[in-house]
Amino acid sequence: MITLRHVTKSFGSFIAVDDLSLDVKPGELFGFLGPNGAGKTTTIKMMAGLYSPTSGTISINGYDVQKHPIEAKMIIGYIPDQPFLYEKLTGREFLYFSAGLYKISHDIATTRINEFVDIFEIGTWIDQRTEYYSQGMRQRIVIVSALLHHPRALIIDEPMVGLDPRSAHIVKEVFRQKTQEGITVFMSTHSLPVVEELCTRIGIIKEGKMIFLDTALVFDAMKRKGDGKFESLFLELTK
Amino acid sequence: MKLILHIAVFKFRSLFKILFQWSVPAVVKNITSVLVFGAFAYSAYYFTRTSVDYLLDTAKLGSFLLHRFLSMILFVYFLSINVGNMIVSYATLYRSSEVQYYLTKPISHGQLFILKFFDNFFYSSTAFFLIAIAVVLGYGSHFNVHWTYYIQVMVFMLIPFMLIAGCLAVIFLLLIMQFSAYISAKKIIIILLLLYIVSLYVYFSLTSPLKLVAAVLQHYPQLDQYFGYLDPPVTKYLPNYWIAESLYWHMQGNASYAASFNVLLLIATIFIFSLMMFIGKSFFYRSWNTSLNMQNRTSLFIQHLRWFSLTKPPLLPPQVSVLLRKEIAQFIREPSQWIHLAIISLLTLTFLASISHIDLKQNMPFLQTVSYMVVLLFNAFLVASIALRFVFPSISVEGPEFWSVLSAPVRRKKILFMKFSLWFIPVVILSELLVIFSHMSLMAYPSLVIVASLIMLGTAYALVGLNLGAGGYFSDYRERNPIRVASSQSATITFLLSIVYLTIMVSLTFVPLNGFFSFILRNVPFDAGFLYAATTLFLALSVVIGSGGALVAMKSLSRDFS
Repeated sequence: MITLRHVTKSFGSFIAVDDLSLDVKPGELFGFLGPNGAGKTTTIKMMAGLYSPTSGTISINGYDVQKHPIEAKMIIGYIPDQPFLYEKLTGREFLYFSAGLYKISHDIATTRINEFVDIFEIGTWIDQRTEYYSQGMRQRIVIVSALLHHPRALIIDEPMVGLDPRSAHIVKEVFRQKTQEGITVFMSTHSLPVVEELCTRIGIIKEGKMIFLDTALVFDAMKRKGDGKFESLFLELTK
Repeated sequence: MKLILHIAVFKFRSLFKILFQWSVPAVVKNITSVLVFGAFAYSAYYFTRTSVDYLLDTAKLGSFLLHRFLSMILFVYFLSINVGNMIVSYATLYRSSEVQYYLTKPISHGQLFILKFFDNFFYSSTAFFLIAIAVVLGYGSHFNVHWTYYIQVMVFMLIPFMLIAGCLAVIFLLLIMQFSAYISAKKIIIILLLLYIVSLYVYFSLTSPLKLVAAVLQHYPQLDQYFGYLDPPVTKYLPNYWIAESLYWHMQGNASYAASFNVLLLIATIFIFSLMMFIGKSFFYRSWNTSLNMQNRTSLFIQHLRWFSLTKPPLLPPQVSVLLRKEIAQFIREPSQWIHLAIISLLTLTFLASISHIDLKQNMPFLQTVSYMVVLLFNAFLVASIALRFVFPSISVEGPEFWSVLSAPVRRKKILFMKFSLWFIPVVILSELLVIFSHMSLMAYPSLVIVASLIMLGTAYALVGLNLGAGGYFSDYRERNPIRVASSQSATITFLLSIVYLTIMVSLTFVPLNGFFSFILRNVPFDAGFLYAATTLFLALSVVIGSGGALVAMKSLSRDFS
């Protein structure tokens, strides 16, 4: 369960996120949409503990990210918008590194890493330094690193960037499976077809404020009232 | 040319925007910069003026000797600029993502080379230039020279002199990179390093300041005459000699003869600059490609060292183990880190070997204290340099990848403690080794060894903390190159702060140490408690500085990470 209460984030006089309140329930796949500069990444970075909110609270399964950061982070799996990896480490080393940060024992980490390497079809790239990786391969490693500790909440910023259609399909399947396991997935993306395909609830943010928040079914009904296209409704709402 | 100017304009614009941004760290950095640089420049001015006054008016050593000393200082200055430019130019020419960007644009390799050369030259020589200006002002004020002469010195002497040093550095680097396709880069670097050590040794053997002073003093009291016949012929081909001669003859009132040395310097500058341009145009792109292969070769070699591998079962708790192994892996696999460490280790070993043979025992208490303090200060200075080079960039080098640690359930205290310990342990070991090796001739005085050991312990703690704190406060996660981080404006400020701290060390310990030596050599009554009290005070100050630095680093880790 992800809860945001009156969350505001300012950078000087610029308000990036303005009094945002939200609940995302277990098993829900929440699509977080908005135009560029709307405040999506800022919100996600606050949820992941990289930014501190100027005011308001964020809690994950009851743990306040500011007051109990360790407990909250222990159950979060964060996938950033840009898959930066330590370039001098191999993919496998980076995954062991991530596992260690979440205090996963070496044996369990080995089993899980091998399992995910197969699922995400990383192959022999796993033992190459990440500096030689393509964007898509980096993205796969970052996604695996976020899943290693079996998080209760996945916080994802643009998961499909650089992924080939096959990898994108695998990722979508994994997310679907995770929601079936009762895991909360909070996903920000610009890919409207992905939202349409996966999300059970949708939020649209513009200039830091939530301008739409409802189920995918309601969104679908609204869409049908227009020309039936997701894109048209999104453009209309964010105009 | 138009294209280079176009790019230069945008580079200057971005530089000005960076310099005049209104964030708290930027304003603090700029104000501290002005204060510290101002104080340092004034000290350099004052020191030069006082030294020139003393040598000419009090010691009456004569203008010839003064300018020969100046020539020797300029030689060391030349080598410092040269080495500084070479180290930074590796980062600028071969490791910068900007080069990759420009290689995709319709810019010739020659244009790109010249652009990056000046980028590197301004970056690595500005601090040297500012110090030189202060020194020139101090020197000129003794002779009451006209203000236009200062401009003349800057334009016709200082800039060409520095340009020669910078051009030679880049020529050597291009040759290293070019030859590294055939011989390993490590061998070339070792050869080059030995060449530098040999050239320093040969220069000071030939010029031998002590012999020169003795030869000139034979003519006492007629010291104010020209003793050019004492100069070894080979030194007459060096740019530092030309500057010293130009200054000497100008001060003697023979401006036209002085100008002939300036012309010589300008011709040499044009020649070396053209040579560098020719080599750059011919080899830069080729050597840039070679540098990519070199990185691959190094990585293959380093991969054999598996003991720090993250894939092995941990010996320590998981978080500590992975953080530690990650730090080591990152360090060892980054060529600019281990090459620098290798060079510094070699120099340190040479220093330790030579310092162990120095007999510090003197007969005069004051002279004994001065020579002892010089050695102690030199040890501390070495520690300060190492801390600046490796500890200061240790937070910035985490880079944008740091999200993976900051978003994980790891306490910031633990991250900081790891970083601090990882550097404090080797630095303190080095500090204590310096104490042992430099006290070989003073082992009969255990209390002195203990005091020095405590002083160096405090120094190591304070300097690691200070550099970690300043490195965190001014952290730049976008700059991937540790050398550029360690030679940035913020790093220079930190180093100057370290010098201020070392000055405090001297101020606190000089008088008690002088008392101690007076007691040993002249039996002058002395209370040892005074020495221990000063040491304790210094240790307390070191703890405050080191812990304060760690606290600032801690705060910096809690800032928003983007």
